[in-house]
Amino acid sequence: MMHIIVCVKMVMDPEMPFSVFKVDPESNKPIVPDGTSAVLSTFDECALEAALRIKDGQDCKITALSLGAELPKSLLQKLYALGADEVIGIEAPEFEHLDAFSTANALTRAIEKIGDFDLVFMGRQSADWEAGLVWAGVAEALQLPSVSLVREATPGDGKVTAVRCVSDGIEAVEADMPALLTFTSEVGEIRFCSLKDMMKAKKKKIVKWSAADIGFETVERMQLKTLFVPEMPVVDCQIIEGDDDGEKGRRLARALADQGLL
Amino acid sequence: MEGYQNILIVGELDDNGVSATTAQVLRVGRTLAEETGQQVHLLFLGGEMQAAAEKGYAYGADKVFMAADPQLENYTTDSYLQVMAAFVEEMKPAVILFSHNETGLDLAPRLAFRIRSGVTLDCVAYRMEKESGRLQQERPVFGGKAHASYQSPNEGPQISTVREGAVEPADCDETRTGEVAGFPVVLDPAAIRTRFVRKEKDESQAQVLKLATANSVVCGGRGLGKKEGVDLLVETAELLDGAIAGSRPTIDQGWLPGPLQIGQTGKKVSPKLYMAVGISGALQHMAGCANANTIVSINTDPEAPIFKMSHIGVVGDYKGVLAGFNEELKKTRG
Repeated sequence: MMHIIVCVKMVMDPEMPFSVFKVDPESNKPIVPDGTSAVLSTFDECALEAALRIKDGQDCKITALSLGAELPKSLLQKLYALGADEVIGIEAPEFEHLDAFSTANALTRAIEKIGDFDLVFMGRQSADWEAGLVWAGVAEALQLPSVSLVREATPGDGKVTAVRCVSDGIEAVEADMPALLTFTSEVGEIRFCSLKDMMKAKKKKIVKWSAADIGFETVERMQLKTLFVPEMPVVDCQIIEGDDDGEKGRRLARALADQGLL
Repeated sequence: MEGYQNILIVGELDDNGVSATTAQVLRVGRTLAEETGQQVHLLFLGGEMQAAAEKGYAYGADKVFMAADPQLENYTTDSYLQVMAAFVEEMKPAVILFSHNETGLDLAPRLAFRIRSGVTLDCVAYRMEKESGRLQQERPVFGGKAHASYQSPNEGPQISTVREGAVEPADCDETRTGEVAGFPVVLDPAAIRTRFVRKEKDESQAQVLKLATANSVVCGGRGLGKKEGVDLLVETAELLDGAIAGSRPTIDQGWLPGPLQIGQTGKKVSPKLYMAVGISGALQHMAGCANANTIVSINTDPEAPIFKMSHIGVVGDYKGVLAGFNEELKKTRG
């Protein structure tokens, strides 16, 4: 049976408004605002959706793998609700804002512990640090062929055909399996999971591993020197009024003409 | 940093010669070369030797190389990676810069892990730190809410990709010329496990090209409501002789093709006029248009974050607003 391992990161909500985002200059880390909850990283959701589409069409086992300092139970259960067959969570305080190099190492060890697989899927970059590197570290360490920026994957006959998004269209690339693919938002949105799916998910066992279980070691490759909030230019917005939308539109056109923008 | 010298730019050629983004990366390279008293080397990879590669000298390269082989005609990770690894082993560059496009963001990280070097992607600023001699690489993170500055402390090439539009292209001095040295391509077929099958240029090709150069861009977001909303954007764009584009939701919904996406992981544009229609102003989108001269927003929600980032705003339904806008434009055009 086809086995796909999907790596899913849990991150601070990227939709959080700019105004509540603060940085702690001592630790070079973002400060998690009160009352916010973690979400599944956007592009990793795309990766999971792509795996689920393969499972829609053939016998397939999906193992969802998540690694972090705090893995909310509800999010781990959501992975079951969405359709994962097994959910593995590796939680350890040392994983807080772990950089891409150490993360790649940890995921590699975890995947090696999982055993045989045909495909590893993950997002092109995380929705928090957005490094875009973890996929490459895992692919190199496991010596897998890789294709990035995928929107659709079709495995068969020991190979996978991946449709890759490029600046002026798409490219179809074929890779030998086992392979690693990274996904981009053109996959579309993750499918809906019902309340019933969530209730069923609550009964499923989440596999928990520790950092020691996977033989985690930090990798010292890059140093984060500073994390800072750049000064945002203050923009004074001129609001165009009018009796109705059409009038506002006409006045907008005149305002732009006056400013020489047309 | 003993043994590692010079700034290597991995460039690309297109129908116009040296690509616009390669010219931008060359500016970064030139600046670093001046700061360190080293040279700028430029490497192209492709199917066959091209005379256009020589233009690299005009854009500031001190040496231009080309690795040409039919197997490199189309980009595949494994083949390009092998050639890069061999080149780097021979030339030992101190810094390797790529453009942050679909090739750079694929090749740079894998190369870095292959040779166990540090790497940062999508950088907007660089600085050579005098004390350590290490390259400080600055990039937006958290959807642009913050910037992070990194360095690789260990010996070895410092690899990075440069965000498109982060810097101006290098000046072109046609009097600077030189020879393009061929770099031998030796590929181990067993190590090539990915194969190019075909490319499909999106029908929106013309629109994509327009987007890259237009003075006006009309971008639609989730607020368009439905695919038909795009028709109104097209009408407005035509009247402005501008380009149309979409934020991520419109692409995910299939209202506009992927190559027209503007945002953190899409295209970055800096037109004179940027009209955001039915876009809330999520930072992932604003990262794609922040450098526009004038940002005009149309949104039904007066609290939409985009109004804090726009120069001109209209609170209203885009259907009515653009109808009036287009009507006025047609009148004045005569």
